[in-house]
Amino acid sequence: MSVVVAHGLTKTFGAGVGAVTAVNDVDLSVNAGEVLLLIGPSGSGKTTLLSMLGGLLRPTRGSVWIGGRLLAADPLQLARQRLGTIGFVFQTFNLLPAFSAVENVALPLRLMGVPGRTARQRAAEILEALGLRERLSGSPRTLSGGEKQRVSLARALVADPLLLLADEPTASLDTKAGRDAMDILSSSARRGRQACLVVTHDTRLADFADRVLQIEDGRIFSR
Amino acid sequence: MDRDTLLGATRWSGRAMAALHIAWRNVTGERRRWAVSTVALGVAAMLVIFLEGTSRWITSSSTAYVDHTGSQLIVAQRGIDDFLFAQSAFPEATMAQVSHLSGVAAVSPVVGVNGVVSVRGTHLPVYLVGFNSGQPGGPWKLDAGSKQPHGSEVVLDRGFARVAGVHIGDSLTLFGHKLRIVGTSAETDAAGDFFLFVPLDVAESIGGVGTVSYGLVWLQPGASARDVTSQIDQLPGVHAVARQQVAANDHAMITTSFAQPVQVLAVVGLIAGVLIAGIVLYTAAVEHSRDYSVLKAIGAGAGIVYGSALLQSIVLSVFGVLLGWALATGLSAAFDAWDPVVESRLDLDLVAAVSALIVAVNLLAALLPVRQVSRVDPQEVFKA
Repeated sequence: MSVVVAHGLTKTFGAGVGAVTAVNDVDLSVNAGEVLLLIGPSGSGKTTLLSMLGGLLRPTRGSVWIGGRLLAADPLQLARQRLGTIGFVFQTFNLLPAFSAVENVALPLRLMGVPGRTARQRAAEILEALGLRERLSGSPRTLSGGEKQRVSLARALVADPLLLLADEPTASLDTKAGRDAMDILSSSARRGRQACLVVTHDTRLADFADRVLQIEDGRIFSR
Repeated sequence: MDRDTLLGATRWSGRAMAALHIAWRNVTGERRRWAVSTVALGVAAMLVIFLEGTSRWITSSSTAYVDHTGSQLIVAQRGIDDFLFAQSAFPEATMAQVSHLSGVAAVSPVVGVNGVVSVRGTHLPVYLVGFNSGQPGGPWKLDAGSKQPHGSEVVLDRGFARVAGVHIGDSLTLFGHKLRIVGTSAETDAAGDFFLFVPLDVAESIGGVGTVSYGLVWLQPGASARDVTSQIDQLPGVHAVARQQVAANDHAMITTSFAQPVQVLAVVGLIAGVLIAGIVLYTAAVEHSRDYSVLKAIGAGAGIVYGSALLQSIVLSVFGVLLGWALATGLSAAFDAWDPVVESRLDLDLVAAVSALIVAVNLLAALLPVRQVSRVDPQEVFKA
């Protein structure tokens, strides 16, 4: 069953002779439990595509459905849709520096309105499962790169989203930490029946994917 | 804990608490910046609270004497409606006539002499009050010694005594009269004009023998103030003014002359506080713009994002006001001990009103950072 479906997705920046089409008429779907790797060089349009799939960037043309629902046009509804259905993993982790590890992970639940104690309990469970039992109250400043990415993964997974979107999740990590992160991401997606889309320029990550697509000049090709 | 259980626990109050939590963490997360911000806001708040307290002290102290006489009416030279700044004079015999008017229970003449005296090389503004010992019109709150001067005795405002460096038992020369200090009084410093109390005949010898400045009038129970006023107004050269009216006139005069300049300084302090708050909050918003882009990307609604930015302002303002209050209290106590000429009355209602004003104005200052936050693009999260 397709969790995310994109149809005719196009994004053009600017207008007239200076217009640049970053993503051009992309059709895409990712099934529940499937890990899809989207590989492309810098400037190929992979982050723009990810932004549109995640509802962070409005497409010039085309549409995106997540869990059978069209992404909302209203910003507030769109934010709620993102909160309830998408988990993001970023290259630079994007942990809030003023929050502890467990508070960072609990954040999506707190934003949903889950009471603090319940949210922290769930966040602690998932951090412990990812081997960070001793680092729950640690500040992001005190964590290693691998630990930060595991906290970031825990934050993406904590609300049990339908779709995981990962942008270069291993780019800031050494080889072992990168493979650990991909292992967590892919196994969580398969176990939780979540659709997982990973964009990267690292072809070595293909081992973790069920399917690999290539993106160049805003167009998608099968490998 | 599965997804349904988690989402079943969501509440509106939970989101509000999340906004508060984010605001709290943003404020307190970096302790050094928090301390610097709080001190900056606290100093500005202290300035405003202290100056407003000084303004209140100026206005309230200016009417303290008139307020404490307790009389219903005050007889003054016709055309004079004030006490502190006017030079009223009329024959003492008039007060005997007033005492016989229908509805008058008691009268007490007082002589008021404005001037500057030099004590041990220090020039001090004074208001010399002559009154009949044992009758109203003298000091109402004793600091030390006696509050009833007789013969060549004087009761000094305690601030005057401290500044002049004189003590009970000492003698000093005032307006050419050598007087022995028998007591010191409290709350008798009208905005820096020290009240000194002497027997009526001593004051008359300075202001003019057989002449008094004011007459304090108490009415018989049930007597009409309007009727008594009308009778007094028939007497030559004098008229009667309600005590509250005299106090109001002095209050208005002192407000225009002294309190308003102080309030202008307080407004300058408030503006400085707003600028500090605006800069602190704007800097915080800029520094946390990445965090706000993360919040927006994850799916935080506008209510949480803007709410947390506003709450951040409130949290900082509350810290600043509390520190400002503490500093102003300390400064007031220090002034009281060090320089009794200037005081600051930090009444709870005044502090509460000023604090509410500071928080409200800081909220306005927070609009700039909120605007900054509203412009943060959630796509920033993808930038390395």
